[in-house]
Amino acid sequence: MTDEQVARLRDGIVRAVARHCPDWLAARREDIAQNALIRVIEAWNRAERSGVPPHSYLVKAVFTAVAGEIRSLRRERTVGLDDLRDESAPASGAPGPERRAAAAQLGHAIRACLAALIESRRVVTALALMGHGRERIARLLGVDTRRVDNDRHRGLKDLRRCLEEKGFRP
Amino acid sequence: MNDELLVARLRDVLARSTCSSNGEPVPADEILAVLRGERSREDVERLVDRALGNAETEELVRLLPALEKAVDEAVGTSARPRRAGWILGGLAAAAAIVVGVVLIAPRVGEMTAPVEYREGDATALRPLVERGAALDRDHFTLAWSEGPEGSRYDLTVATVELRVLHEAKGLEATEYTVPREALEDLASGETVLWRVDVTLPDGRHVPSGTFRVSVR
Repeated sequence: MTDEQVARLRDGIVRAVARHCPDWLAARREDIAQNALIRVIEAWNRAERSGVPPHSYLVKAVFTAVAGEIRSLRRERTVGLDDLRDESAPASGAPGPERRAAAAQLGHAIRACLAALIESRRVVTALALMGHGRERIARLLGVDTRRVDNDRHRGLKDLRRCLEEKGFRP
Repeated sequence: MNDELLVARLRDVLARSTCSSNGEPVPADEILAVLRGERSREDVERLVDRALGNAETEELVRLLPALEKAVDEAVGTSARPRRAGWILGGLAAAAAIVVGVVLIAPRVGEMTAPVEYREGDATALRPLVERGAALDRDHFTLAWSEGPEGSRYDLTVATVELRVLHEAKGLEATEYTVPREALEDLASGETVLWRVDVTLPDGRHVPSGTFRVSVR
């Protein structure tokens, strides 16, 4: 692993946190990446000695390191104070309070509608909305990809109908 | 709107909105095991249901594919460890990383998996200095939560480039004032990283997370 690879990994962690975490966590993406990378370097060094398959090990190291950082930040967070701060000083480029409130309402509705789907559609659709590909979903559920496609299509249809009933047009 | 567009739109909304946090989050290593197919279908269903009701679990389920992609882009899927890879760089940046390896070298071989910190784990140390606090270099006192009775603490203080500034080993107290001379080279406002490794009474070693403050 070269320094260029380390730099790419750091950038990748920053992008992942920026894209997939709420604003208050995304605002700390540099800290999360920096601190996680220190743990990753440690894990990688151990992997070199123990002969553990490096790619899967590196994924595990990155994931647990980022998870540790997020958990640590969540523990530190004083909800009321941070919420006030979020309202008064949104991060540069972040949506304003009105758009965030609308997104929060739609997010709440999406989760409620997902939870109400029939089981096979719920699991497939939720995993798809959380970024997991059809091959992985098929493997996890022990079904073929056509079944995943079918459940996802029907799940999205049910989800759209549910959201419309709640007054949202996704 | 077709399915792909709808998925992309809803995925973005989920990422930008926090769900409620009922109950304890699913531990990261369990999430990883489930999503790697090492658990049953029922476990997958349970994880999804927990993710829909717990913000941290949902974030981690969502982050995994993105982090896998980050690793793929950084090292490729067929990466193999190069024993001296960190050390042969020859550039200034690599030198900083070499120091990082030295920093962690004493723990090499002691564990084979990244340490997982669980909520409520008595051995998981918490910093008692506010993250990002600016500390006077004449009173640079770091403090952390107490481990089980009889614990000993090894403190390491480093720059963001992982240059070790100071180490203190075998501490019995849960706070330590870093000598001023260890910080003399640093500019005011510069970030300092610190971590504490605990040696538990039963001999196990538990590293803390890495925390940051700044010096003034």
